[in-house]
Amino acid sequence: MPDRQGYTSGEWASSPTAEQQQVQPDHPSADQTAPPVLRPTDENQVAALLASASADGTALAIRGGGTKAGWGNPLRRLDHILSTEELRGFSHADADNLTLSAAAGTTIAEARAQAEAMGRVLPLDPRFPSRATVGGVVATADQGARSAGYGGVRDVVLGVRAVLADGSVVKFGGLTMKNVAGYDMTKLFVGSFGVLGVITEVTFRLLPRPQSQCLVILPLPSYPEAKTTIARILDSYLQPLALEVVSRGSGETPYLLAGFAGHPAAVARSVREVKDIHPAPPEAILSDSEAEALYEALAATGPAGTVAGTVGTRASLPLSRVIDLVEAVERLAAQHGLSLAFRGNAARGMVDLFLGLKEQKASTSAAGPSGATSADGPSGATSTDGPFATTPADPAFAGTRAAHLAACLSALRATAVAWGGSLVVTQRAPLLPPSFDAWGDPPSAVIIMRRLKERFDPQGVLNPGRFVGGI
Amino acid sequence: MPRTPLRELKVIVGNENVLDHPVDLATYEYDACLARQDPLAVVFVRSTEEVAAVVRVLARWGLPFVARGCGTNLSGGSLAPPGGVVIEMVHMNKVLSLDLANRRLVAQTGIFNLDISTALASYGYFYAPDPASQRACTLGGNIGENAGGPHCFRYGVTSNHVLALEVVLADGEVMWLGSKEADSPGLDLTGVFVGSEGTLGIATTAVLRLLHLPEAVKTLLVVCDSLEQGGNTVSALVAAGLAPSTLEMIDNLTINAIEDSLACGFPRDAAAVLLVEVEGLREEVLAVGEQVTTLCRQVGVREIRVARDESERAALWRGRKGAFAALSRLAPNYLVADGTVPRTQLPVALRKIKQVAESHGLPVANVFHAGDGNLHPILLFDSRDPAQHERVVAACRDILAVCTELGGTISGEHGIGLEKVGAMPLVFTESELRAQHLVKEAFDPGGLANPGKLLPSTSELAAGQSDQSLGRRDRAEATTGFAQKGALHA
Ligand SMILES: Cc1cc2nc3c(=O)[nH]c(=O)nc-3n(C[C@H](O)[C@H](O)[C@H](O)COP(=O)(O)OP(=O)(O)OC[C@H]3O[C@@H](n4cnc5c(N)ncnc54)[C@H](O)[C@@H]3O)c2cc1C
Ligand SMILES: Cc1cc2nc3c(=O)[nH]c(=O)nc-3n(C[C@H](O)[C@H](O)[C@H](O)COP(=O)(O)OP(=O)(O)OC[C@H]3O[C@@H](n4cnc5c(N)ncnc54)[C@H](O)[C@@H]3O)c2cc1C
Repeated sequence: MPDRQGYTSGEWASSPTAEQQQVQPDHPSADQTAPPVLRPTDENQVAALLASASADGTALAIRGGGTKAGWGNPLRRLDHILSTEELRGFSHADADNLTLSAAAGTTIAEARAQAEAMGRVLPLDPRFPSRATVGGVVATADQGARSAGYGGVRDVVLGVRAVLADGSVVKFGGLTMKNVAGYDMTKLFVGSFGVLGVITEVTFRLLPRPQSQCLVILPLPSYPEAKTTIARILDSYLQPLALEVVSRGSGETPYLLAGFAGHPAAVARSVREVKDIHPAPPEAILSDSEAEALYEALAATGPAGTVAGTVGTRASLPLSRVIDLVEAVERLAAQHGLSLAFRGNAARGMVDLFLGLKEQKASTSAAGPSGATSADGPSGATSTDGPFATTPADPAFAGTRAAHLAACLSALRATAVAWGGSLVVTQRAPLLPPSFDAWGDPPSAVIIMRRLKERFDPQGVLNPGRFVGGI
Repeated sequence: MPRTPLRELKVIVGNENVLDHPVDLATYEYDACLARQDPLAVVFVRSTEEVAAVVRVLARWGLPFVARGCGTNLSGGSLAPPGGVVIEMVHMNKVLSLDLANRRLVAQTGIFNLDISTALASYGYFYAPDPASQRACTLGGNIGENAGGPHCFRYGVTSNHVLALEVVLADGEVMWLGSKEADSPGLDLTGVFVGSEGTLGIATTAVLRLLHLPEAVKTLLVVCDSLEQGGNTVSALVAAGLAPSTLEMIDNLTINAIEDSLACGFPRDAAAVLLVEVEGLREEVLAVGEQVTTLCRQVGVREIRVARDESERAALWRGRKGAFAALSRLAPNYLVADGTVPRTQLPVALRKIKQVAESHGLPVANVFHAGDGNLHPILLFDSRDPAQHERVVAACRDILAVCTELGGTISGEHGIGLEKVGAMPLVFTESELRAQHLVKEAFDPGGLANPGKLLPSTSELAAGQSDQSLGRRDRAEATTGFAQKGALHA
């Protein structure tokens, strides 16, 4: 069986995976300009902090596990960091009703372990589960390979508790599967990137633990064949838990991972049928704990936090375009001399792309602790000192490389948009020009989003500027 | 000739598509739960452009409006606001595109729910939400109420299957929430719009997620000796992690009503039956079907029957879906309470609801989405007797209280509408209600889209009226409405 790393990290096979990298320190000791970190220990403290922030206009960055600091736009202003790390634990765990309520700062790994202790499964498969928090994953609606079976984050969250900018505490949804009392406010908070309020607790719908599972690893001899196999699996009676196209780098066609879970007979039948559908024999068939381990490795693909020379993006596309985009990005990366790794969720139309500067790979770790470029105020001027310094080691060289990166991303975005999709920045490298908006052109409904932001956070103190259309 | 709103509307949609004669309007005033409300007019629309033009006229005149599908909602949501206009969507009933490769169907929202499934059947795909009223309710109404249905136990409710919406806001502006082709970045406005009961605007086009039809289906009828045993069986099946696609419960009173009118083959002497359906791959259906059977035996149920063929299966479903209509033969009026509880609490909830009904001297029937913990206690009464009126009001209040005390809520799928608007403070604090008003204001700053539904008004909040008084007044009003509803269904 091939090396597991080979399936998951593509060109990063040799570099440390995200989970192995050091979490960036809150206060690099030399740096006096780092914003102070507030660590409320309960919801009341969050409420008090937000009320006073709104009263005096203090801008807050809400931080969970620090795994997505480069996702979205740099904040327009930032005075304090509000960390949810002390908000941990479970206020409710009902195995028989299949519900679990976790505080926002609880890590996904902790919540998973809790669900497992209950004999259940937490249907979330975000990246970096050992550090990503419940609040951060729900605020970004980040869902990975197994979302083919689990559904989106919005489909597994039954309720949220949150503190609004004025310090009021609200709770929406709850322990029941269905709830149509009032507006579905839970949906509003899922994927809200911390711009409407601080999520303090989330209630999840759990799944029964499957009796067995299997992950089939198929080599994809060519892109047309990849398309045919995927289309045939999607059009069959099979119900994949995961259907993921994963790069192995260096211009070779990728792997297709097809995962199934459930009754052993049904899983065995699914594997048989996938083998019949696909023209090439599987490279490996992983079962149970081996499959689990590969999912874990997948979730750690790409650099965590920030790595200077790498830009992460996520494209959303019609299902039939997933392979087309993969082809397009390979072409563009080669043309611009960029390194590339990707994962494409063929059942949900979502492709994660990691583009980097080949030549600078060895020195990336020296380029600074973070890729989050901070703009000092609405003018958009780029700060050049502090932990978010954007100046790379060799400006002239980096300048041309950065131009290539930006050109490549612009072309990709244009392609995704032409197909009816979108491309957002999930990992903002310092090399990416500040003018490259993380979200792309806002949709017409941004009017409503702005009105919501103005009403929920009139002083603009929560993650100002992070989200779509500058909200 | 002076300009009037009605004349302007007639210019847009044509004289024949505006009803403003009292005789014609009478049909529409009857529809909802509350004391009759004469709409100013009923306007039939045929395109997004027409909806936008109509709404712009109404905005200019400051007239409130309500979108209406078939008016089958059980909470008064589609009743005209005072002095307002009903915008009737049923002619917007076309499938606009079907993209099987991307598993999406785009349809106008006036289409009947069942017509979507019919359009899809030959392709091997389906649209999952299947309210029991699906023959006679629209996609727009499903979106308005975030409707559920028997198969939602496995597949989720309307909001899990609506990917994007084209909407007309109350100022006449047209926009897409979400994107037609793929996920789009930004706040999940589609998620908020679904279930908003027409108070955020009018959805004209919807993009739906399609699912592949299952390979195999097995339908079981589990016959129970008591209501509580039924509840215990449901809790046990859920706790065992067996995930049938359907887990519906029907009690003795309902069974007999169904048999009297439809003769579907339910055992008349059963205290309750569970309609259980398992679907998926053949292998899974076989295995899970056996596990369900074993577990039901362990709980000690009286009998487990398996539908032998499609016609037996269809008969059982005909009975389930015709249950409300069958019950309406038993009394001049009925009231469907729509509470939810965590599934572990079902046996307790059923016992307490029975006690509540008994203590108020009212017959109660139960036919509901048990797997989701979504109860539908149906109180039978005669609205001509004022004493019964009062008892129904009290019983409904007590039932909702039972649900909230057990960790549930006051509506699982029928919505708040007018009927339960007074009960909102039972489950939401003032901050939570205010937050919901922020949403309403962001979509509809002028307050013209279906005002008075779903949320207690801001003035009521500002006046700091106690939860108690709000609750009591509106529930009393609601009874009048239930009476008319019952009369309509009888
Ligand atoms: C020393 C230091 C200085 C920094 N300076 C800057 C700076 O100048 N400019 C800048 O843009 N960033 C800066 N940051 C980054 C910022 O503090 C956060 O890291 C960033 O907001 C994302 O947090 P995360 O990666 O922990 O979020 P994750 O937990 O990965 O969450 C992802 C997203 O969800 C939001 N979120 C997380 N939890 C919740 C919750 N419970 N409720 C609601 N929303 C939630 C987050 O705000 C974030 O947008 C700095 C960080 C440090 C340590
Ligand atoms: C016998 C019976 C069985 C039922 N079974 C179920 C069931 O199993 N599950 C379930 O969930 N419900 C059930 N219902 C309730 C009802 O059928 C549903 O709520 C249905 O979704 C309403 O659809 P409608 O077309 O009748 O909408 P209407 O009643 O006309 O409208 C419902 C609400 O949606 C709004 N609305 C309508 N169209 C639009 C639009 N285009 N844009 C925005 N808002 C709009 C209206 O303003 C109103 O607030 C049942 C009702 C009956 C009578």
